[in-house]
Amino acid sequence: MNKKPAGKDTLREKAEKAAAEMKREQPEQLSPEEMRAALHELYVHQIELEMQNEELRRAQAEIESARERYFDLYDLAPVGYCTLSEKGIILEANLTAARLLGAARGELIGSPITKFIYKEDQDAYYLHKLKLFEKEEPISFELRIKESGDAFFWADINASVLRDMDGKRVCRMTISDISPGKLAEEELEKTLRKLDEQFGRLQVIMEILPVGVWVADRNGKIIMQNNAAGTICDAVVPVPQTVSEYTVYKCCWQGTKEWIPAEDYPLPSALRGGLVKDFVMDFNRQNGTDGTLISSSAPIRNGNGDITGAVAAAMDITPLLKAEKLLVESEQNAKALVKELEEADKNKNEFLSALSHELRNPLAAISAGLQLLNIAQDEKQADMAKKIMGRQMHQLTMLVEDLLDMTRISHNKIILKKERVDLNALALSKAEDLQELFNEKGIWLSISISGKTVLIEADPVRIKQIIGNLLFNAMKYTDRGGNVALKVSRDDGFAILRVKDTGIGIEPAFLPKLYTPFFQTDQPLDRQGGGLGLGLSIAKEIAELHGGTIEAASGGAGKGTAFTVRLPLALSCEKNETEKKERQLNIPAALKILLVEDNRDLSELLAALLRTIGGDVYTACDGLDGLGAALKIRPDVIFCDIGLPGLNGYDLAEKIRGIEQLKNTYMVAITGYASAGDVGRALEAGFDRHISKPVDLFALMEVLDNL
Amino acid sequence: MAKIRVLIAEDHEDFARLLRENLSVYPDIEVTGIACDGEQTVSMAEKTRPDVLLLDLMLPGMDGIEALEVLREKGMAPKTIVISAIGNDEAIIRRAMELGAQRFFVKPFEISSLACAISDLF
Repeated sequence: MNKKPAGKDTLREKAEKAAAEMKREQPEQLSPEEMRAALHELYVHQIELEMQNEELRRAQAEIESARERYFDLYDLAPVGYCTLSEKGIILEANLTAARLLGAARGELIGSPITKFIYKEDQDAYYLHKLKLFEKEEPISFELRIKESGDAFFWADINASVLRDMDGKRVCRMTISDISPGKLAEEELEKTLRKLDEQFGRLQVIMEILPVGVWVADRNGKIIMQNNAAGTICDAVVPVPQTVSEYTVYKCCWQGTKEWIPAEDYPLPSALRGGLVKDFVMDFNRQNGTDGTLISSSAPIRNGNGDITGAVAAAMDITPLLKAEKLLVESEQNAKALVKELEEADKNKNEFLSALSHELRNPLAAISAGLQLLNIAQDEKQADMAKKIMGRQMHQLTMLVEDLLDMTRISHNKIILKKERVDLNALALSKAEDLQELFNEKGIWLSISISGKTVLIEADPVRIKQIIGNLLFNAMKYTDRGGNVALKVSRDDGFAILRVKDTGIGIEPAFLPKLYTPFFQTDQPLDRQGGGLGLGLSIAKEIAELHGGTIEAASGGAGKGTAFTVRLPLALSCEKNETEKKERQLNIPAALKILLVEDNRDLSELLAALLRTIGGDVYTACDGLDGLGAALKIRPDVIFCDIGLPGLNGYDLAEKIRGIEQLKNTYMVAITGYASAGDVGRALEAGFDRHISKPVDLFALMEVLDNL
Repeated sequence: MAKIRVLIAEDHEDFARLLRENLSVYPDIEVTGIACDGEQTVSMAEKTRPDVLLLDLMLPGMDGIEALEVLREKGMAPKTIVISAIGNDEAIIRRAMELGAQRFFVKPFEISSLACAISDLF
């Protein structure tokens, strides 16, 4: 709105003035016609002027309205406009700018624009402004405008340089709020980042999965697969690119040799909409080995339910199946072991019960014998008691020997003292020993030996133990009036010992168990023969220690039993045949025997026994006494207890072995409990032989016989 | 006073003989015989009609329990004392008791105690 039109009065004055000037130029006299014409002319001019005037007023009104419209547009434009001085002071601003900058327009004018810019974008704004005024080219940039507190919004700024009416440089700036777009952009970026992270995660998961994973698009093209998938495929064939190439796979339905058609593999099936779970197939690896895979597959669908692809997973379960098989096997083994242990436990319990029985009977007899001795009314009763007690003692000793043998066997501590012996002689000797017992039982014992000597490299004591055990066994299971036949023969490099009876026989089912320690075929209350069932186990172990075997045969219950022992013949058996002399149980007369034993009772008893054999017996009651006696009498044989007071048996043996005059003396250790270690130690100390307590006449005779 | 007639059923011959010798010392006891298996126990009991049966349970063939069962079936009821080496097998002891066994001796035992037990039965 500029200046108002000049007032009417002023115009009138101007017009009067102008008319007066015109009047001076007018003629003095005018005719009436001329006057009328002039009046008319004036009237027309007046109308003309009024019309022009009217037109001007209308034009002015239009201008006013356009101007108002312009200002409305300027103020209400959706974009903020402002004009800044070169120093950044706001000179003009529309209402939108005021709203965006968050201030009244009046407040805005004269303020620096930087007051409204977010602090972190101040530098950016300064640089843009410098560039704008330097180049004077329009620029656009984005910066953040402060809102209340720390809040801001993103604004798009367009700026150009203009000159004002005075020619000064100003900046015209538009400000538009682009926060929604910016936010959407950020949101998008965030989403993309998230997707990226998820994809990364997925890739890591895929790579560490021990399971092969394949993803196919809707056309069956493999678009993703992990390392494990590659490994599985490589094991089978080169990796197919699409399911249509699945014909290269040569897998079979599990447990068959029938190839699976390409379209029946899990992934192609899933692409047709099928859900495949735990599909098991056999495959042949490129390296020629066989394996088994388990695979599952499912279609991938979009929001409409259309299939857009499929995913399949497969795992090589060969090791699992193997482990499972092993597990089943070891479970079975464990069960078998448990059964074995239960069996062993049962055997042990039966053994303990049998042992109790076997100990109680001789103990009861010995106890009864002792009681009888105390009340014996005549010599006959006393003799009977002593005889029976001796016999029962012997039986108990045998029992303990058997138990010790079993312990030695189970600890591999049987020491064989091998020599070249004739099995004929051993069999005869043992049969003679037992003849009386057979007679008492009313069982006929027949002996048949080989016409030639049957030489074996063996421990004669142990071989006699086998023969004795087999004969005892036969006697135990044969009724009065029955027969037991002992036969020695030679066959193809082996010495054969056979014990055959007409006894109760053995059911074939029991034959393999015969040698199990403590095994007996009968029921506890019907334990006809008694014993612990150790005899056959010991016989078998001893035979095997000699490189031999033992075999049992029976026609069944009631049909008798035959045991056959095979022992390797001694090398060059023939050559030595004539060299070996028959062993006799003759004791050389007047052997000088020294007995060193601190138990007076035992010492007296043994001395008496030795004298019955015909020895010249001296006794000593401790080590030192023994040493003195040995030096004095120079005995042929020394029987020596180990646990002696003062100088013990080992020390005594060592001392005696150090004395020149006594170096040929035969020394026999007598000990209570004889482990292999004890025997070894006795031999080390210088003893020639070892016998265990209680000592019986036969043992002493055998020692002397061996001299 | 009549002696108490005792039958020994015991397969362990040595022990049976010593038992008989020991018991012979007691004036009120007379051992009428030794049976060494189940069948013999039944036949000798039938023949000698003892007052007391000293019965080992572990007899060959027919065992002690079976022999006792047969004797009960036949209506013969000598007072029975079990002498056994089997220790404490409860089932067997219970069965013997059911069949009328009155005392139970586990080997080895004092024969004087057995003699007292025999006398105490009457």
